[in-house]
Amino acid sequence: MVKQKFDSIIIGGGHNGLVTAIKLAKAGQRVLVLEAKDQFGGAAVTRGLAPGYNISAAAHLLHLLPKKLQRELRLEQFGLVLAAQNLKTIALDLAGNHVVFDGKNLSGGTAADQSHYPTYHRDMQELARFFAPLLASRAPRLARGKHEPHARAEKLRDACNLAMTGLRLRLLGRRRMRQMLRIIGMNAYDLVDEHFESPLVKGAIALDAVIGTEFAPRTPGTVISYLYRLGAEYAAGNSLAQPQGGMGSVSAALVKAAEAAGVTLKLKSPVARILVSRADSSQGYDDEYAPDYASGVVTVNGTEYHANHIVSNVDPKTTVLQLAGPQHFDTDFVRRINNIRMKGVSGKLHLALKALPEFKGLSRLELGNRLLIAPSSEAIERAIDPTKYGEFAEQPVLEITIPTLADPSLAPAGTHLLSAVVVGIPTELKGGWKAESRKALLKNVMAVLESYAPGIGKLVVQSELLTPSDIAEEFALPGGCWHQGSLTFDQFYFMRPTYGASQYQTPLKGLYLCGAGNHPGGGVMGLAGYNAAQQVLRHPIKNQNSKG
Amino acid sequence: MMMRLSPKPALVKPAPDHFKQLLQESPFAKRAMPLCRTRDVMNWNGFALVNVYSTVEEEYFAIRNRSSVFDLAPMMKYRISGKDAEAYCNRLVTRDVRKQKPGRVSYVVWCDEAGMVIDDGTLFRFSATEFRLCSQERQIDWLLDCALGYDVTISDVSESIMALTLQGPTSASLLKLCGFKGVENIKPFEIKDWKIGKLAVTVSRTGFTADLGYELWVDAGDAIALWDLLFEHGQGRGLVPIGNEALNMARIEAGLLLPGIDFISSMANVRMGFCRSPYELGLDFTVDLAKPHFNGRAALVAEKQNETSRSKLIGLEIESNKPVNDSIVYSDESCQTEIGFVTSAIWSPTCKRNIAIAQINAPYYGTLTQFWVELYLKRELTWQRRVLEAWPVERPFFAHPRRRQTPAGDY
Repeated sequence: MVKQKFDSIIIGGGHNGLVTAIKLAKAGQRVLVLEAKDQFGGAAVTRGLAPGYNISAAAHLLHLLPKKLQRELRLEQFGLVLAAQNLKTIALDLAGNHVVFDGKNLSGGTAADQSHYPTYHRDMQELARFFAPLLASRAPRLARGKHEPHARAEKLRDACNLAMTGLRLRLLGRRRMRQMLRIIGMNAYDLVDEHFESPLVKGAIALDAVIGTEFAPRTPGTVISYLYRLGAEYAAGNSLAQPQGGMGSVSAALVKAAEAAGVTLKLKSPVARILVSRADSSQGYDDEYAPDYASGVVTVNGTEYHANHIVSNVDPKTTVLQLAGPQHFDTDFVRRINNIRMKGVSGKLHLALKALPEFKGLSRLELGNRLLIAPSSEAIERAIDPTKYGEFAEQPVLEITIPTLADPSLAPAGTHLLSAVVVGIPTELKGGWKAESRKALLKNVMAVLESYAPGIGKLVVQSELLTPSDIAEEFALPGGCWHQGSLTFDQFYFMRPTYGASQYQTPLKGLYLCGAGNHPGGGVMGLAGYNAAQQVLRHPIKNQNSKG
Repeated sequence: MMMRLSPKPALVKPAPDHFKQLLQESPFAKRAMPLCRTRDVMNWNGFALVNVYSTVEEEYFAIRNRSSVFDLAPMMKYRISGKDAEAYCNRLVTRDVRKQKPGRVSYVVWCDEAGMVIDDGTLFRFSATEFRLCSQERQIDWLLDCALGYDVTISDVSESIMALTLQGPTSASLLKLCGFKGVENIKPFEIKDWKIGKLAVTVSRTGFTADLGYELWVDAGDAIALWDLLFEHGQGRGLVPIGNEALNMARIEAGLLLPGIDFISSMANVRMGFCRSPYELGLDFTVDLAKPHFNGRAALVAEKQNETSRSKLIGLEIESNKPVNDSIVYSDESCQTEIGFVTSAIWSPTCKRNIAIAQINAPYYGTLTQFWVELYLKRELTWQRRVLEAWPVERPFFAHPRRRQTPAGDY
C-alpha cells in the first residue's frame, strides 16, 4: 500500500471538482484529483457515438458557467472556444409556424403575446437579478448547532449575507417584491397561463421551468425552480452557447488550467472509501474531546492517499452513505441525507445522421439553435405524468441541438449529429428496462421527431438513447438526476443538500462537498465547486506541508 | 460495510372490534385484576395497569420489607440482532457497549444529533450478535432509522415477551423456593436462563428500587404460569402485587428518572430548549466520549468541553414532611430569583426524609447549598403558601447494600 500526502484530495473530476482543485492549487495547496473514469469532466464530456462522431453525452449546451468564473480560471487561454453564442430558442410548430425567443424579443405566437413578451421578460430579468448573487456565495446558516465552530467572523458573514438578501428584496421596489412573493410558490402552468395565449409560448417557458427536475408544469413550486434557472443564466451572462468540440472541451480547458496550477490529476482511480480517523494527543487533543476526521481515501485497487481536506465531487448521498459510511455521522443527519430526492425523468437521444435533417419551416441557419418540441404546457404535463407510474411518454418532449452546424469537427464531413434531451422517461421502468422497452421508447421519440422533421429516420447512421438509469450509471448520478438532487424549493439554498452540510462542509471534520448536490446546484455552472473551495480555504491547514 | 435498510416490521393487524376496548389487557390481567380491590386502574402505554391493588402503604412497604411483583407488560422491548448488532448499539447509545459482556444488562440513554436525550432504558446483551433494548416509550422508528448501513435486524418483541419485576429483600429466597437453583449467585445486572418444569424463564438482576430484586422474562404464552409459580410459593415471603403508585415511590427513592416526568424526550419535545442532555440529567456516568462516534457525540463533547450545560437534575432534601410536587425553586427566601423546579417529590417513608428531584439552572446547581421551595397547601379548601428550605443531597436517596451483595441475602 502506497501512502501519499496532499493538502486536499478531490474525489471525482467533474467540472465542479476541477474548479475546486484549481482554486485550491492557486491558493498554494497540493491538490490531487481522483477520477473513476478514463476521462475528466463528469457530465460535461464529449465522447464517441460512432466512428468519427463525437457527442456531448450529457449536458449539451453551455449557459450557466459564469463569464466571470471563465475569466478567473482563464479558460479561453486554456483552449475553450465557443463555436456558437447567443443561441435562440425556437419552439417548433407542427405546421411550421415556429415561435422564436431571442433575448427580449419574441416572434411568432399571437400579437398579444408578442407585445407582452418584452414586459414579461424585463420583469423576470429583474427577479433573476435578485437571485443571481445568491448563487455566487455560500448560503447563510440560520442557526448553528452548539457543537459547531462559532467563529464570530463566520456568523457575521452569514448575518451580512442574509441582511443583504433582505435589503435587495426590498430594493426590488414594492411592485416587483409583491410580484415575486405572489408568484414564488406558484406552479409554472398557471404563471404562463396568466401571461400568454399561444400554446407554443407557454410550452417553451413551462419547459424551462421543469427541465432537469422530475416535475411537470402543474406541480407547485415550479416557478421558483424557473426563477432559479433564470437567476443562474443571468449570473452566467445570459448566453446560450455551444463550445467548440462539445461540452468535453469545457472540461479539457479546466484540466489544462488544473495542470497549469500544479494539480495532480489521476484517471481510472475510483475511490472505494474515505478513511476516517480519531484525532489524538499529537494533534493537541484530549482523548475524550478528540474529533473524528476524514484523513484520506483508499482507491478500489488499494492505494491510500492522505490529505487534510477530502473534498467530494460525488453526490452528497453517495459520499456520506457509501464512501464515508453512516457510522461516522449522527442518525438525524444520515436520515436527512438519505431522504435527498434524486430523480430524473429525462433521457438523452444521440443520433449520427448521414445528412442534415430538414425541419418543417426552419432554414439551415436556424437549425443550429436550441429547438424545443413542447407544443403546450399540457403536452409537457402529459409527457411527465406516466413517469410517476413507471411508464414512459407516448409523446416525449424534446430539447434538441444539432451541434455540427456550428462545429463540423464533431462528425465526418457532410454528416451531422443530433443531441436531444428527452423528457418523459422514468428512472425505474415498470418491469425493468429490456431491449423491447428501449425499442418502444426509441420508436416514440423518433415518431415525434419524424412529425417535425419528415425523413429524419432514414438519415440515422447510429442512434443511442440513454434512459435516466443509463445516465445514472454512466455519469454516477443516482436516480439519473442531473443535479445530484432535484432543484426544487425544499432542496435549495440552506436546505441544499440538507441543513448541517449546507456550507460545503459535512459534520465529519475535513470532509467537504463540492458537487452540484450543493448550493447553488446543477447544470454546468461551476459555482458549487467555486464556493466549496472558498469554504475549504477558510479552514487553515494545521501542520503545514504545503508549498505555498 | 454494505448499505442496507432494515426491513420495516410487518404491521400487526388489529382485531376488527379492537376499538371497543380502549385499553389493552395485560397477559397477567386474569390474575392481577381480581386482586385489585381498589378498581384503581391507569393507562400505561395503552395497557390497563393497576395503580393501587390494596393501599399504597401496604404495597410500598412490601417493596422495602418483603417481596413485591409488578407487571411490566407495557414495557417496549426491541430485539436487535445481526453481525453489526454491537456496532449498531454502540452508535445508538452513549455508553461503550463494547465493554458490556454477553449475559449483562446496562442502563443506557440515547440522544439525537443535538445531544438531547430521546429516552433511557436497559440494554440486555445475550451474545456477540444479540441484544434487547427495553424502554418506556415507543422507539421503533428511531431504531430503524439508526439501522441504515448496518447489518442488523430490529424487531419489536414487546407483545411476544412478557415480564414481571420481583423486588424486595426476600425476592432471592422466594425465587429459590420456586426452584431457581443458584439464583442468589447472579450478580447485579447479570442475566441467566432457568427452566422450571416446562417454564423457560430468563432472570436478570435488575429493577427500579435500588434494592435486591429481579426481572423475570417469559414468552407471552407463559405469563400466567410465571405468575402462578411466584404466588404458589409467595405467601411465606410476603409476596404482594404492587401497582404503579408504590413503585413510583421506590423509584424516586432510588433516584431514577422517568421520561415525561423528569425529562422530556427530544422526540416529543415541541418548545425550543426544553429537552435535556445526559449531563443535564446528571447521567454523566452513562456517557463515554472516548468511544467511537455515536449519536450526539459532537454536541456532547462541546457541552462538556465548554461547560455549557444549562441546568442539572439534582437531588434535594426539603424541611418539613410535605412533598413538594411541581414546586418552583428559588435561590432566596423572598422568592425573587427563580432557578428551577421540582420534577418528582415524595416524603420517603424509609429514609424519613422529604426528598425531591429538581431541575436547577446554571450556575446555581453547582454553587448554591441552600435553596428555597415554594409550596401551596390546601387545607380544608383553604390555600396556604409555604416557603421551605432545601439543600442538595446525593442521588440515590435510598440505596441498600443488599442490592449489590452477592450471593444475595436469604431473608
